[in-house]
Amino acid sequence: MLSLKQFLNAYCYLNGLDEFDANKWNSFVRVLRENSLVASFYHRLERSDQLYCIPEYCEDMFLSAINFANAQVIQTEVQGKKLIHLFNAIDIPFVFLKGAAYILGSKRNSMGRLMTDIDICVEKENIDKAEEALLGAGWSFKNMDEHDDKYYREWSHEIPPLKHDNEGVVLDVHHTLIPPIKGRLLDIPALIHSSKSDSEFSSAIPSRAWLVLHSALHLILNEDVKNGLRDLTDIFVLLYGEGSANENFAETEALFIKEGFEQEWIVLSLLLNDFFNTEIGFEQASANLSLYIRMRHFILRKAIVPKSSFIQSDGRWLWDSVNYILGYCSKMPLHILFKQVTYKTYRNLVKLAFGEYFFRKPKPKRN
Amino acid sequence: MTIAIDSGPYTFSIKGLSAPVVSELSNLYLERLTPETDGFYDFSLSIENTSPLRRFFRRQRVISVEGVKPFNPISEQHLLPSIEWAMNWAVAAYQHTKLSLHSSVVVKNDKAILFPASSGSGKSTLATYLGYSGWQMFSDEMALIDPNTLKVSPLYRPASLKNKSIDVINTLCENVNLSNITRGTHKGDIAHARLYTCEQFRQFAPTKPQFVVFPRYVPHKETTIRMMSSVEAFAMLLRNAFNYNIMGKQGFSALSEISASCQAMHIEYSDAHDLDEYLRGLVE
Repeated sequence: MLSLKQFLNAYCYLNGLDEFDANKWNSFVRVLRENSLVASFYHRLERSDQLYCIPEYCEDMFLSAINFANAQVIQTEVQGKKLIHLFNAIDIPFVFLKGAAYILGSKRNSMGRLMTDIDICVEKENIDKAEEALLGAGWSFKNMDEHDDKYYREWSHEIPPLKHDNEGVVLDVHHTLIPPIKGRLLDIPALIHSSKSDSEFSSAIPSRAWLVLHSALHLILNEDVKNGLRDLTDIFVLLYGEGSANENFAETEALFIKEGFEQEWIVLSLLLNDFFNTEIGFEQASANLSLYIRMRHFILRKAIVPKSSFIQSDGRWLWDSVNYILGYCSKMPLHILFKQVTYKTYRNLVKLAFGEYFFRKPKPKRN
Repeated sequence: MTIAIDSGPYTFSIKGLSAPVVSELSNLYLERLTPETDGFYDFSLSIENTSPLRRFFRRQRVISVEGVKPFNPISEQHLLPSIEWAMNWAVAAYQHTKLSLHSSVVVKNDKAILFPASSGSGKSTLATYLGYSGWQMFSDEMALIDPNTLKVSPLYRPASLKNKSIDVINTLCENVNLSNITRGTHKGDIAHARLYTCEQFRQFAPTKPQFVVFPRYVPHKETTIRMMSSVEAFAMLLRNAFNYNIMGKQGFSALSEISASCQAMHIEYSDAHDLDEYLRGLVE
């Protein structure tokens, strides 16, 4: 088992790997695999000329993950082309978000990064037309209960997830980046038109600053931070991995402020400093910390460390629970929060008592 | 208890097992099953409880493979076959440097025969019978092929037999080492057959396939053989390939080379002994 410090030292700073014995490598790659970070970590090691640290007995695991990630790139490109063709035909401007945007925009953080679905964003006035076009092109809504459907339709920033009937791909269609019910509105036309149109996909890839803003909001204004370290790594590589970090930073800070997310920008700067020892903006960020910022930063710093039985971490459930409540508070008003938390608490209590599979339908028996 | 299993190309660490399950597994893996020690394992499985209540009342267990729980929970009595399926799932889900085919593999005279087929086709039964009858059974379920050498790796894994196959193997293979039967799984009744000692398995070496046979058991049918073109064989292999798409060009080339270099045939049979004789003739 690894201490938290050993894990973070190896993952964030790429330090101490040459001192790992087989047992520590075992724990380390288990945590990477559990969090879909194997291939992206390999690429980060490669960029820092440290592939020699990987012992022979681990190579197969890393190379398998690289093959898997490369296949996902091809699949994303195929789906990306189809979506561009579909939306061009009905004249709906849109952009890809998160993993698909990183891959199709050839961002450095996309190397080895895995994703479970493709995210896109259209303006709200186009959402019905987009839904109709997708349903006509072989996409259908995944099964969900009435509460979840209502959650998406009335409270969320996206329609329920779609799955392609033949190709096994899941698509999330957003009309904004955070649930609008909290009253914090973003300039979505500006997001969509932040893209450039100099290559096949770039017309549908938001600017770097918008990519960072979306990833940061997903990290900070969210109850689920299971992929928190992956998201923070994305942001770190987007800001520091390509071009001038100072320019990237200034451009992104300006967008956060313009869109009204100054506090989230400070939390993000503090987290980047915590995990990747970045310095740009840190001094300024830590000058005047409000109670909200202190609290959000403190909890997130604890909660985004990967959950794993291979890392020593005490009281992890507590930070997850507090983050769960704070994340919901950040994205919805109290009366809806109450309904949502009541519903989720009921389900979680039932799962705790009868098992997490209580609500899953059993598979039919085979003969 | 936490144990380690060395299947040949891959090692597994399995946590959370009760003593009776370890005892069953020990019978199947002999000295290739050891208490887990410090070190590196290719795959990590953990058997967990689903809730505090279900720990004591109608005990329910779930298998976590590298932190993912791909299967529905099961009772403690159904653990043995589920562990075997979870080990297969781990390799299929995470191993992408070797081409993996849904296929059993037998070897004789340094010539491997692949039997690609989907579940329920009888490929495990056939491979088990052949493995008992003097062939080396490399796998009853999954062929792992090195894309550079095209050689298939031998796996030290028991054959998984379902329903009527259990009786068939009990009848055809006298004194075969069978596990207890796990009744009422979602695939029916399951038993596992261990064919070799660890010493015997050490004689197995990666081998190139020479033949690809698509078997179909048809009751009361005389053995009927239809030769297939390499194009037809390629299309059929493609259907049974777990990860050729993930391996990209390398996977595609490996499948293509196997199709081109192996003699492929479709065989309908009811008499395993008769089929054994025909296959022996092929590899003489």
